[in-house]
Amino acid sequence: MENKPSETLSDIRRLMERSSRFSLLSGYSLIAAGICGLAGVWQAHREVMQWRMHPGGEHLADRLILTGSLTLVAALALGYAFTWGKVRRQQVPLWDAVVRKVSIHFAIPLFTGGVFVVGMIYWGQYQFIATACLVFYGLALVNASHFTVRPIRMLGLMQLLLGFICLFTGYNLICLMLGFGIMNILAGWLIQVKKP
Amino acid sequence: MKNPIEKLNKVFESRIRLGVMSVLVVNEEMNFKDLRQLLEVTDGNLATHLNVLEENGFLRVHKGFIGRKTHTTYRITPEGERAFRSHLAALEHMIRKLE
Repeated sequence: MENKPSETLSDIRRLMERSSRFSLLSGYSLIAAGICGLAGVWQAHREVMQWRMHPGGEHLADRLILTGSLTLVAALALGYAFTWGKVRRQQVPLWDAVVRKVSIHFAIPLFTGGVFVVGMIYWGQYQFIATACLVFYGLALVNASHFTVRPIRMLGLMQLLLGFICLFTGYNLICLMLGFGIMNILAGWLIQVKKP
Repeated sequence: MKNPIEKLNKVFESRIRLGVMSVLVVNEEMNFKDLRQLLEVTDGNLATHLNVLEENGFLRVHKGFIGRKTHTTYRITPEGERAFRSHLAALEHMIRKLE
């Protein structure tokens, strides 16, 4: 025998884990994305208020779309940066098999949601954009959660729930604030705290 | 008394071969480069061990091309999975005996 059986077993466990789960997702990524979300919702809220006082001004929908897009770009960039930093400190390649898997599983529902939202904007149907954002983000998270850290699944399910609430109540900004802001920050905090 | 080592599979005595099986049992398929990265071994070393596993019918090799570069992927066969699981069971059995 080359090794003790217990060592061999823990070797096997480590390899299974490392090859199938991306465990290096940084909690700060989600916290940063959540803060972007909060800032975005706050800005959108200001725009709505402004428009209510002076309804004649710029087209509200265009401003909100711009705010939303900028928020998304900032959240993705910051989220990526924190995880990238963590991966680099561990000196493992960022683009290995697991990362590819996680990215693809996350990207497919998210991209579908993006197309859907662009379609709704195209047809001038703004009513369900917030719902669609929450639902597709939720699906993307649930889909990717099989290959990464635990809290992501719960985060995805919460987004779905908020999406449904948003759909039937129409409290768009509140649901977006809770979903993209608070929930992301909570999940990020959970990931950061639970790490050994 | 039965010899506890008897149930351990000789093919899995090598750490690298056992490592390959561990990775393939949880991943539908894996290419050569990713396996090499995960197991931290050299090309030649990995290739030799993969050959042994293939000869034993524990994995299936798919040779393809991406452009002009070869792109070889590996999957575990049902026999491979059975052999791996019974090897694990034997290891567990041994540990329990030691305790």
